[in-house]
Amino acid sequence: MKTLNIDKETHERLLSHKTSKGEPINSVIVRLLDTWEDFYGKT
Amino acid sequence: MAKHNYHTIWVSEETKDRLKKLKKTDTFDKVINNLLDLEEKYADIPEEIYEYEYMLKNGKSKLFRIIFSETVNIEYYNRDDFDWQDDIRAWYTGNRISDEELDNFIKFIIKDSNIMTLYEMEFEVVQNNVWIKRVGAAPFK
Repeated sequence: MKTLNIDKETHERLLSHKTSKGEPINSVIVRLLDTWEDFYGKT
Repeated sequence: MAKHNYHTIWVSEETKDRLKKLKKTDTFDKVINNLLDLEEKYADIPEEIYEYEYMLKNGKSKLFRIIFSETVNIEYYNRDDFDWQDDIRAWYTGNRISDEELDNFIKFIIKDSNIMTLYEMEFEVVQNNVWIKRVGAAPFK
């Protein structure tokens, strides 16, 4: 695992996208990345 | 003592690498906010499904559908399994179809369906699937 430092607002936005209380932040970000790549293609 | 206004989160190495690819010269905050903006922009878009019947050269017909939501997907109906599937190259006879037949199929979608009046799309065949991607960030309607 790696650490990322993000600001409070970004952190709160990420938390609001959890599908369940116990979902790891990493899973939220993976989901967002998948949507991005579906939309724009992989870089 | 300096007050920290940041949160430290834990992500997998793979996730960090994927973020780095998008990051370039931006900060991780910027990248993640861009991801969130995209997600939230299309969150309320309902799923729209268009179903079509496509005639093959052998005289048989195949059902397929295009599903529009946050992404665009093509699925074909497998009558043997009574199921919609997305391996578009396998839809023809259950085996791989030729590039020419796939190209004809894509042209059919573009020409004979009215969806191109609503959307801007590019087609690209990626592995076994027809990859439909929006040109830039064209809105749905």
